[in-house]
Amino acid sequence: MTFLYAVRYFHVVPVVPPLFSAAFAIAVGAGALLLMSDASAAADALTPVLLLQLFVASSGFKFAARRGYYDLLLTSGTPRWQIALAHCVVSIAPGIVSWMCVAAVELVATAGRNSVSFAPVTCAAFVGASLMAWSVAVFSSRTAPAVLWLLVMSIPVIPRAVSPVQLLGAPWSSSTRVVAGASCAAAAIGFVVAVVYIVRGPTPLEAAQ
Amino acid sequence: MTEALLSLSDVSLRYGRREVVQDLTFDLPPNQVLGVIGPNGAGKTTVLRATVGLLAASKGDVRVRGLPPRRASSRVNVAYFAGDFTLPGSVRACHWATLATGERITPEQRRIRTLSRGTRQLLGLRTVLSRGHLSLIVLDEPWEGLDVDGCRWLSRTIEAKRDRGAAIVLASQDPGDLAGICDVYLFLVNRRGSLFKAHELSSASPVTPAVLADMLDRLLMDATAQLRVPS
Repeated sequence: MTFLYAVRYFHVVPVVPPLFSAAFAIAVGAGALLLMSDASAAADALTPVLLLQLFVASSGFKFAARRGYYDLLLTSGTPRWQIALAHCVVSIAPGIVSWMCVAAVELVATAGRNSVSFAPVTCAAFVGASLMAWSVAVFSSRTAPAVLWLLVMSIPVIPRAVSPVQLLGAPWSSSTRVVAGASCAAAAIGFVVAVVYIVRGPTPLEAAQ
Repeated sequence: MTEALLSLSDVSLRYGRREVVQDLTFDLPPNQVLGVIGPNGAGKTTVLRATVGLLAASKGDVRVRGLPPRRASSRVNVAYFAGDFTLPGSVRACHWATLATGERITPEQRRIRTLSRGTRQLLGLRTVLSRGHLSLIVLDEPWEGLDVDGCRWLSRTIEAKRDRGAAIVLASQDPGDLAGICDVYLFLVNRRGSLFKAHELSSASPVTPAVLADMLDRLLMDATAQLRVPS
């Protein structure tokens, strides 16, 4: 049993509800329309995609595993790190694909002259937010990290700089470099901690404790 | 003597600070069926999950063919099923059934949550037992919700898998489920395990539900007596 088996498992036992896939399609469609009318509005077109990604990538591993939904996979002989990787890939893929779709529309709209979608800060925002949301959700229920993030953002004293949305289309200055670097580093640390938890952590059955 | 396929030595299992099972030791060779019997909350599910590597022992060693269960699962084919409630309700039955071997073992198109309890249980059992060359089979309350045909199919399948060399662990709170089909019985009472070979419980073969219920009652009474504070 391999990584591909784990991906197939998470395709059959859906990590991302179909409703979210439909929401992404709407966000991409709306973004494409916006870019066709104003080619410089890539940041605005990407904002709903990134916000949705925060919710979708928060797919939650521990709760589903403790209900026994992943027992068949966890006892299949597939290495745990491959299971963790597959879960992450399947969780963040819809948002990454949607981002690529908007980026493709932007490339067409600007005739390849300018790309906010592929700017380093935009990449940092998407990769950082996706991995961080997935990592935190490994220990919590679905969408809990995104709800927590929204709550934090609603507190006025919290600096707006911690929002990945603020990074979309931002210039590559020293301050954005620091924020982008810090968010990527935090996401990488969170990712490693989450993978280690899946590899080494126990999977008790919720009903048996 | 045949080398044990599953081996537990001095295993203790805990949830946080609560100890569920203490100093459990047994060996299970291939071609044998172990029945785990105990009242609700005795730790049957916890022991079963430890044998397949889903839980780690707080003390002692669990070995499958001499390896820790998680490492062994890449070399030894394992079937584990904890009950129909562990099947994700939103998945279509025919899709779930392909997950063990890739083959479509049922044409049922309905979502799992719309199936009856017995049908869900049968789907879960058929899926895990369809894996080829199973060496270790661990089933938690497998008879729950099954009708007469389902029970008959399960008993036949267990016997066939055992004859093909699998070591099998079955757990139930109802002695009637396990009577007669196990070679060894493990009674879990008051965090302790008591192991009996079938012939030790009853000279007449096979072991009857009454014999198992009697032994469980005796162990429960002993445990209660030990817990009583002397006056």
